[in-house]
Amino acid sequence: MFSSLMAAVGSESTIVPDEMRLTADGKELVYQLLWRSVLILVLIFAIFPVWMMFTTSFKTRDEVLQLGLDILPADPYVQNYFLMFQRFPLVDYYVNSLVISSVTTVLSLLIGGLAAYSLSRYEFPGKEKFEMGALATQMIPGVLILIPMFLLFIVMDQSANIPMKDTYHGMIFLYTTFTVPFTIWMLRGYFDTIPTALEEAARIDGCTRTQALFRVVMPLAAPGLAATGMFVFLLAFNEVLFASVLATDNVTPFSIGIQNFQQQDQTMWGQMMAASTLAAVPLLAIFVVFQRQIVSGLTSGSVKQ
Amino acid sequence: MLLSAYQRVKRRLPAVHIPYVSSLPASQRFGLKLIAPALAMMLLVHGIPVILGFVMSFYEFPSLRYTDWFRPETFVGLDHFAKVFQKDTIYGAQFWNSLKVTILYTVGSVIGTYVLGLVTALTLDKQFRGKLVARTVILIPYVTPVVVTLLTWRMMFRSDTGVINALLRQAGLIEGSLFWLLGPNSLYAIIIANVWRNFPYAAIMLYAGLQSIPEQLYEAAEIDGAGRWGKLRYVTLPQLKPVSAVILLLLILWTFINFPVPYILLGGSPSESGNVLMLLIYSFGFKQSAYGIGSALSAMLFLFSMTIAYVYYKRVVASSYDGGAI
Repeated sequence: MFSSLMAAVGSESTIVPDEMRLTADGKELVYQLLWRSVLILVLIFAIFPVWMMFTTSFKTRDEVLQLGLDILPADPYVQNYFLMFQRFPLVDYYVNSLVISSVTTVLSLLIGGLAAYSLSRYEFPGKEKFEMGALATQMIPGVLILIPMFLLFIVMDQSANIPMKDTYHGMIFLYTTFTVPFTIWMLRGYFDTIPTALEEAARIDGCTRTQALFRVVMPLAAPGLAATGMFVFLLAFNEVLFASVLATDNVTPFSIGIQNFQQQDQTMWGQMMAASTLAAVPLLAIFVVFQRQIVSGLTSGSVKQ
Repeated sequence: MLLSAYQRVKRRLPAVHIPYVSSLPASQRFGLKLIAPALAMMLLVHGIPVILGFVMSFYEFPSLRYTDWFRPETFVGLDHFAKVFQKDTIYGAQFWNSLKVTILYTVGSVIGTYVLGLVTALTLDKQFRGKLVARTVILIPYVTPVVVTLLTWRMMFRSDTGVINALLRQAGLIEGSLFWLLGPNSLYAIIIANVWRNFPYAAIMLYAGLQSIPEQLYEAAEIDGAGRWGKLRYVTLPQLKPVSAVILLLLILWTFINFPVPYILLGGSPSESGNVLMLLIYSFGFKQSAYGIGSALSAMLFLFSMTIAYVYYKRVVASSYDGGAI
């Protein structure tokens, strides 16, 4: 089957009469059209759900339930953006997520940044083992740690009287550790691009190693820190597995709280999408601003020649 | 300011003497000092629970009072593992089904993500106006909060009023409505959402890989008479092998132990065809309070993913870095 098909294609020159064959220019044109339309399809695929989220947030309940394929909401229903705050403590969810994710980001950048700098500049015994270990943590299924963590949190509460479950510090501690290996991986690439001559000059001028790191290297790595920080923030913001078990009650983050819009009998899609849009827009704005750093940070880890 | 505070505190503290570390040269000691916090946290949050997870898989957990745990009478040895492997128990039947679903989910997602990523990277690699805009749009799925986009996918996958069924009807591909989130189609639903989520990563990595291919190779291929297809087949694809190996490894691992996609799309108790291992373990642990079985399953999942990673790393990543230069 396949070979006969190939033969048919191969014998094109004999079947297609000369005057109907594409010229070199014509072939180029077809090729151009082809890849451009593929690109457009991919772009539509990429943006479509985000666009749906945006338009649905301006639809009334009835409009959401209609089989509409309208690209723009004809008559934007802004009420969703006000009603959504009445149903659930949405402000609390945002604040909880913001607190947990921001503190996690700062701590993870600090702790991971120190380790990344160490890996980029210094040799020490056990360096390779540490690198492998950091990589291996990325292969641990969340549930494997979740069950012992859940029980450890209970032990700490019952025996040492330190509440860990449903607290900011418990979640921040967990998320910081989860994101540190990622921070190390990304920041190491940035530190590698900063010439060592600058620190050496600072050391000659009388800086200690710590001062050289914080006064010379860290400011230079600021764009990298920003890009990495955005991903750490996203990782903490998106986490649902640990949050669904360990962060309920007062510290319910957005990622868990938003699912409340989905009730047994009905779902408030319009309001849910309004809440989602409100969460997504700031992050997308940050991405657009830092996109050069983000792209180079993403690719620096493994595309090295 | 923070820095000087740190130094003031440090000066007051007595010098600590750690046997082996103190004999190292100052630069090595400094290097170790910098990784110490990260190392300590990783040992605490990854190391101890992983070990504990393995130990727990040998025990039964009758209650949530910690004094009742780890007693000789709650020790069940390899019972949990035996139960899981026997196909005729309820645990076993669910496990084998989930293993199959997880493998299908992983294979489908990884192939879809990689192919779509490669196509995207190849089109992005051309010269055209608005390239930066295109690149930005393509990365949107990757940087929008995943909870939010998955809920949107959930909305789009609705059977009665979802936009996907509406589109398919419009195109004349289906009549009536498909159930995406229930029944046999739930596997496809999670694969599609996962591909959408991850293909920008594959695309941007492959795009960076494309740009690092030296122009001379294409020129040489042209001299040898290679057309468009020939250049792709004999220059581009082989040159992308090292970066592809890394991407595929990451995608396999990310999908294999992926939780948000199945959980948000299908919920805590999905249909059989979408019941991936992560969801199964989650429901054992936190719905049925079978912590022992849950731990046994997750220990196996860990060993399984480590094995995949190791074998793959040895076979593919290492070899393509050695011999794959040209």
